[in-house]
Amino acid sequence: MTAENEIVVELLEDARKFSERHSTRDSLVRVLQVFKKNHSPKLWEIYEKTEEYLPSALGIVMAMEKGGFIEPENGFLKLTGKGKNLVDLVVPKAVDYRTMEDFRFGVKMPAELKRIEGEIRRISQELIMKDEFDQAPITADSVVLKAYHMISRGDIAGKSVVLLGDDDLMSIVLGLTSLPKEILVIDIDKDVAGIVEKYSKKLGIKVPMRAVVHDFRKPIPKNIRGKFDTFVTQPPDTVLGMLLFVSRGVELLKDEPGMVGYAGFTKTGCPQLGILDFWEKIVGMKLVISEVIPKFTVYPGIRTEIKEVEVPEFIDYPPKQFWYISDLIRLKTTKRSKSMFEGKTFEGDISDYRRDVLKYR
Amino acid sequence: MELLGLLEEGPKSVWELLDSVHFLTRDFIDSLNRLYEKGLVESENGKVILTCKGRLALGEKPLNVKTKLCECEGRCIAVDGEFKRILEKYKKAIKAKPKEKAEYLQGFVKEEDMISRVAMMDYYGDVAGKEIALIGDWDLGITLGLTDLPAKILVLDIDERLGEFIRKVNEENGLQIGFMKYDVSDPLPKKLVGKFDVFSTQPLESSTALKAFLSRGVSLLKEDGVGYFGLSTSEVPLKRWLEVERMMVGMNCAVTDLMRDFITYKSLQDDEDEKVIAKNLSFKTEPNPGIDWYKSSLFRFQIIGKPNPLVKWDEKTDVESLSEEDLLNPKF
Repeated sequence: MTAENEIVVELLEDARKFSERHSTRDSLVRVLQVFKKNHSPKLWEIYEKTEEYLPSALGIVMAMEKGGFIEPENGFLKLTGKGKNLVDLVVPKAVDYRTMEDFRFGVKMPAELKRIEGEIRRISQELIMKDEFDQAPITADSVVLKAYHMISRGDIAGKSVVLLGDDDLMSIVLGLTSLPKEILVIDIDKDVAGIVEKYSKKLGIKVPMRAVVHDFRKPIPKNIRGKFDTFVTQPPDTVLGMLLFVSRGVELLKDEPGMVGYAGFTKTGCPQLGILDFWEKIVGMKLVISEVIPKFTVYPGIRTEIKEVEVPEFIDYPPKQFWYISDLIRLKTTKRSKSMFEGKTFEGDISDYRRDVLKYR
Repeated sequence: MELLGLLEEGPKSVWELLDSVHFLTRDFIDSLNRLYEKGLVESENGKVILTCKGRLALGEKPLNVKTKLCECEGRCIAVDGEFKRILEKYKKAIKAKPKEKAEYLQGFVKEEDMISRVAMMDYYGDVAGKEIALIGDWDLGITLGLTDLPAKILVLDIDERLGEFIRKVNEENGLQIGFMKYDVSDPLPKKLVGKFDVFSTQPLESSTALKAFLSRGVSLLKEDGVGYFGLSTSEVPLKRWLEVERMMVGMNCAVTDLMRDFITYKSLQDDEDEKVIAKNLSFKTEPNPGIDWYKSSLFRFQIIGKPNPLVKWDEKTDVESLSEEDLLNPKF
């Protein structure tokens, strides 16, 4: 075994002890790539720049600290001389170019929509986030960009749109464009429904818009099933949470091929085996995966998922920067699409992140 | 309605319309013919225009929001820095490439898009120091070779002329890209199974071909290996997209990225597909002035654990080159 391999094997073994899960050499390389560009990143920058699962990347950082490759200093993870040698040894050279970090969304925002962003920022201050509903709205600019993306795909103009959960106020953004035929917001939180109703009137939104309170663990009421062209959701990042919200979304869509659903999906918050299980169930529902755009939707720094990870004292916590960024997936129905929870009540906790940690080792 | 919406922006050629839509080309032809027969569109100077009736059918559109891609053209990757130099080298290297053969349904990807593909692979750490296998996709092999980053590149292709061409490119550029004549319907040589970190292909798009290309690719990969492939909406119906995605999960492959229209094929002179389109339209259209309308979405996947190919490496399998939806299918 070469000296390089010995170091890597030892580091990965230590990482496994800390995180209680297998980390690959590729995971280590990706974490070290962040150190190559910035010799003193915070843990949050590693999550922002890679797609590593929370406990896996943390395990690698802990192993690096134990091995003397980094020295924590005021929340920054400072590369030591030994660490610099490790980076030089393990991280291959790369070509100099600008990539997704510079062009996260690949689109230019039109001024008409940019103006709406300020409105959303103001209104969102009225909403108090509730942990019991696992609420975590995406940033105002992400809401507007996501709306723009959906418009550009032809999924909003003239369409009946349903939002499963709306703490990020997507309904207001879409309403202000006057593009949809109608908008329905379904949220478990009466305060969210209240704000949506209030501002749809206050802002003079012409699109027919209403908001109802409903818990997605219960089946979708018959009177709204099968009525919509497009659904949009940012579900809890557990495998069951994502599947339940997508399933309910399918129940709300018209029973025709080509109807569209958007969901946020985060590799940082989901173990690899969980991701495979999620896709298996999605295609099992006969839904076509039409797009998976990495690192699309930015969340504020505080996330409930991090509660399931024991963050060591040397980490700067709570994070003050954006680090949790979800992928945007676009799904399309086929003739045979069917919700996996149709008509059933879901028993259990959709925000049980610990369950995923243990189930998908 | 989507076609009427596009025409609201102004007259468009059939090729410009094809460039903007994302459904089967056969359905596109049917829809356009229907609109023409109903009097919602007409043809004027080789372009398709909206009639008054078509405008009325569109109704009111409140906020005029049109997609504007940023300088990365929606790919989230820019061809700049060192890649500009590689692009120039690549263009020079492929000048004498063999002409595309209709019997192998060969197309040619836009040079800039080859660079974007390599940049995306590099972003995920799938290039430097990696052993990379390509089924077809010889042009990606040359682009990767010119970065000087991979540990090994092997191109497997049915077309022997490409082996000779790659040998010349190697000589002229000091590269070591390997080539092996290979037909995906045949078993894989045992020595290649499970030996690569990364694989890429632009498969033929019939069900049997997709199953064969992807299974072979998965067989070539090591545990936790990564793969890339393209799939079009022009000739692949939703039903087959779903079939492909079911194949992927069945082979323990988790999709990590699916970027729409990432790969653009260059419009060729005397393109057979375009002749079929023009022939099947109810009205006369101008020849394509060079609009690159045929695009593929790019999948990236990662094997979670062990590769589990649907067609085992030592099995022979049947491969149909043309699907029912293929424009070149004589049944069209």
